[in-house]
Amino acid sequence: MSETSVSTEVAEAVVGGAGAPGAPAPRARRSRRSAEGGSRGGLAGLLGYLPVAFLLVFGGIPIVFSLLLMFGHLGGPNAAISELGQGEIPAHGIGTLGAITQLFENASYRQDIFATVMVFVVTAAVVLAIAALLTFWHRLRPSKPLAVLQFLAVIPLFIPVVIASFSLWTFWGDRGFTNSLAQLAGWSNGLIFSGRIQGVILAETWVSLPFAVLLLRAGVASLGDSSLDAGRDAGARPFTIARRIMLPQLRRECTVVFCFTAVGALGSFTVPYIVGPSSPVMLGVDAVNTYTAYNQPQQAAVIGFTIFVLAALIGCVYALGSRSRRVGRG
Amino acid sequence: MRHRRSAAALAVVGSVALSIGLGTGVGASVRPAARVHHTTSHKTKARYPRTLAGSFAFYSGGDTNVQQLWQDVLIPAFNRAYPNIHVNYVFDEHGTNDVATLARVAQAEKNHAASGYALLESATNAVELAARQGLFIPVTTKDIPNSVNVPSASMKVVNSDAVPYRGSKVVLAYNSATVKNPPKTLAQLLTWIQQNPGKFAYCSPSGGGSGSYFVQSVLNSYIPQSVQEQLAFTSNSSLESYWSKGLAELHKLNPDMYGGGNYPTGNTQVLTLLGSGAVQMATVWSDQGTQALQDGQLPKSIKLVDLTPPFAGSPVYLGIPKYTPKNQAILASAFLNFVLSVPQQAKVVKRLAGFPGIKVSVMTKTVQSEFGVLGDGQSLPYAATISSDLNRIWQQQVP
Amino acid sequence: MQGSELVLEQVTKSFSGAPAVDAVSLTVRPHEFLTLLGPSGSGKTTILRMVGGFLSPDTGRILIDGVDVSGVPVERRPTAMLFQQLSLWPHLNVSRNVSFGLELRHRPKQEIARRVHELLSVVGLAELGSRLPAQLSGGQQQRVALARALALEPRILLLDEPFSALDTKLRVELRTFVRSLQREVGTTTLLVTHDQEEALELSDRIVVMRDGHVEQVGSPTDIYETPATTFVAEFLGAMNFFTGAASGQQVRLAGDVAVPVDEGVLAAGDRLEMGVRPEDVVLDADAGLPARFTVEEVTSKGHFRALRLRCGALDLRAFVDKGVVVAPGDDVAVRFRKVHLFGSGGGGQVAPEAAAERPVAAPSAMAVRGASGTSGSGSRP
Repeated sequence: MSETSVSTEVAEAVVGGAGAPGAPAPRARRSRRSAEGGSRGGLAGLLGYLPVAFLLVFGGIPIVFSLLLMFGHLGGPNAAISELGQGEIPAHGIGTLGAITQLFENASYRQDIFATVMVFVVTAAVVLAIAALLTFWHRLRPSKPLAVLQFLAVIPLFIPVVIASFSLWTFWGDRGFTNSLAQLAGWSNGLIFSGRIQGVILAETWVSLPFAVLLLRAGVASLGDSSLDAGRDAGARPFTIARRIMLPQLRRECTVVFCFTAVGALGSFTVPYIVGPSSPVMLGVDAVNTYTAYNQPQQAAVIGFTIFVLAALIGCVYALGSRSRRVGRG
Repeated sequence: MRHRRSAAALAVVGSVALSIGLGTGVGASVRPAARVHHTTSHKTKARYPRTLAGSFAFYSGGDTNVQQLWQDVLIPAFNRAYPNIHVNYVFDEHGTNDVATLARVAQAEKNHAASGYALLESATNAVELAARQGLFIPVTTKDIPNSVNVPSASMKVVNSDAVPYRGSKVVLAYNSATVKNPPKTLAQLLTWIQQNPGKFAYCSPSGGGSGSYFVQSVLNSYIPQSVQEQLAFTSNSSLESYWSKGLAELHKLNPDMYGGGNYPTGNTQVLTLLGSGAVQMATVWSDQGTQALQDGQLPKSIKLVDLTPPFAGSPVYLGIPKYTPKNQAILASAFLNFVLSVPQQAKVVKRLAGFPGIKVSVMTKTVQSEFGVLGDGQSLPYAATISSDLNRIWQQQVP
Repeated sequence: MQGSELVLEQVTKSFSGAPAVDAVSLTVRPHEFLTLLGPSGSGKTTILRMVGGFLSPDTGRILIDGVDVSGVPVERRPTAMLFQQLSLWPHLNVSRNVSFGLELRHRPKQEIARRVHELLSVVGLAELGSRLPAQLSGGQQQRVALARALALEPRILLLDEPFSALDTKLRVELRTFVRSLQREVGTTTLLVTHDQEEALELSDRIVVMRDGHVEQVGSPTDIYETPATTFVAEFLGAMNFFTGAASGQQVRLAGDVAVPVDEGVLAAGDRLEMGVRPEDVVLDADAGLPARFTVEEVTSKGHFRALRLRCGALDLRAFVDKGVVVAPGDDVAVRFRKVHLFGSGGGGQVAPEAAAERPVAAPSAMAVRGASGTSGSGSRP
């Protein structure tokens, strides 16, 4: 029960962070529209506010409580949670940075942050590269094997992450398929990824690939044949066409793939929990452990906030990358 | 109870809810009420008459195997013995309402009122915590004659305010095909680990009790007995300084662990490693290990043994709330006494691949043989808050 | 600029078993503007894409200046294509669109700049180099695309219905421009279109295609004046078709309407198709002619008038001078300035007709026979 509540909290922080730079615009627009409707349409207009109210109640307010908890305000709405927790650092006056400094002074926490950043950056880059390779190549030189590969890449979408993580953990373990193969080739213990940060990256890639492939496949399909043919006609080889004609036109799609994969990996729990190493752990695992296994809700809030800040940084990348000067298409 | 991680978290939730409900000075007001009950039960002596009639409500949080145990096995058997008692069985899957239910019991106790339940069992250690808070009627051999067979340590944990009817403990699992002379003590185990690098695994304490209890055993080997007991019964975190030697020892073992210090996340992964032959020795829950052997998930060559002293275990308790109406308390006691009888305990053991609530030694020879060399003994696990600190400190210092 | 020779030798291409181009042989002369004309599915675009390298022929060879380029990939072929859809790269401005190919060839920067300016001047868009494609009109975009195609100094310029995405006025404007530009630079050019007007206006020669093979090759005048088949006659310009039989020096049409033809052209009893272009129908005031046509409809087309005439079951379209005064209901006699005779079934033309006015005579009986064969009575505009 308590585990569920912390993972929602983490998820909220992540969603809030990712949405922060991109999402508010449409939301603001929508509410303005509904305000107009309200003056005219009464009930229908009020209904427009429901999503906003929903977000505030189930997203906004818990985040505020969580921030208060982080800065040591253990009373009021946080009384129940802090009474059950341990290791709290209470605020004197407007708040304390005690819980934050306590965590950041801890070398293992800094390693966790570093590992998390590395995982989401590398995962996002790898996912984008693979998805782009598959979809761009297939667009330029359609072939059966590539079509099959694209189809296979979407399959993880239909496999629950827990089951997938456990299977991958087994598959990449020292008695798993990859290592057995390596041993057959005379390379002892050469291909073990379970319990390693590389394994987390691989598994996150596996989990994130379907969305990336689907999105880029749609993007690539929207490029006109003649636009690509004109590139070949002008003397560009496929790689040049991909880089100089397709990529710039699909910059927004690529940004979405990169940022969503990054945010997904950043906030993930199951994959690093099952596949990842005992140390360093990713922040999502850290947050859940700190809340449930260490029983330190205040420190868990700090971790949640760290995730939020990282997500906000990814959000900035998203805002920059999707700010399009492209006018021709769409 | 097997998944100590979630159990620990819920336990804390439970304690808070209970302390909120109780306010202060709970302990003092407990005993008189209990004594009232004693006088009534005194007449019943060892056995309750078959003619007892009425009904009582029994809250049970657990997995579906627990539900099946009660509904398919124990309650029907009880009704054959006591045809006029109706057990109103209220099941809560995974014990998601354990905390809320026990908060209700605490609130009722505060108001000197009946809670609505005459008997409770929780999937987490909520009942154990409630017992420590004094919310239940003390268990005596007069009311429940069969409780005489329950190991005294299990009773001491809950101040004899609840009674274990089943349990599980952490044992050492090893592959007898490759390990001819299994370790008998913790010291021998540690030596074996160093001599066989990469062949032993325990899961990270945050992820499962089977790892946590191994760690506790190593830590305890450097700690005087009296301090060990305080760690089990109090929340005195200053005693955690006693851990430093044990943690250093564990850290030193890192390279000799499976994958060079790659700790499996939970109990299930440990079984997988054991089953695949990736490791030859590991700490596992006795019931999970037994179940896996029965299912064929573990090969027959895997044996489960106790060390001397053994690893800790977790009994599952049943308790009768204070201020339960007298007639219902009698019915619940009759039921409890029935469940603790040797034949019924044998069914529990069989059905759940678990430990009996009573000593193994009083069980029949056939049941005893199921446990092989596993004995009755088990060490006391650390108290919930101490255990949470251990999870955190282990994570910071060991891997 | 170069003018290269393009030769297709027995080129065949099938798509999933169905032949799209069937053993086509063709020569495009240096500096020539040649048009592949035909309805959709006639294989013209397939030929163009094979020349451009986007498709490779199943059999046969494609030679440019005598060199077989069949196996040369698109990016290395000395051809450049102007596409039907607007195909400028939306993320690059006009100059970068034009310079793209030059950049790939690592030409010096200054040369690229000079060349881009030159080309944009040629297409009249020197001022718009920094605009993005979306800021241009469709016509301007196609001019940029043309400049982009010419930037690589192709030996063969391929135009794939480049005007079809434009509205009428722009289309006419742009094709005039393309024609004069082509004359100026002299690049051998292959145009694909289904628009006969476009073909007639632009081409040095036209290749009429049908079902994957060449129906007729010739100058616009040749093809218009002496269509080899009813298909060609129908596809280029309008033509009235009548089924008839040779009878001495006459062709007898349905309802015993007779048209005299030159001596020696016909063998008695030949079943044939006779075609008359509407502009070759002349109204005759001579009341002595036996076959009387009734004016059913008069439509003003600006510089001429289109009439629909009927004689029994015979429908006849005629284009007459706007000064000719007729009204629906009038009875008129007609002469054909020129008729085209095709073997029965619309095959080869029996006799290329000399210009000689042929009065249409009809005996008394006006029994009318329905038209048959591929070319029925009536006409196609």
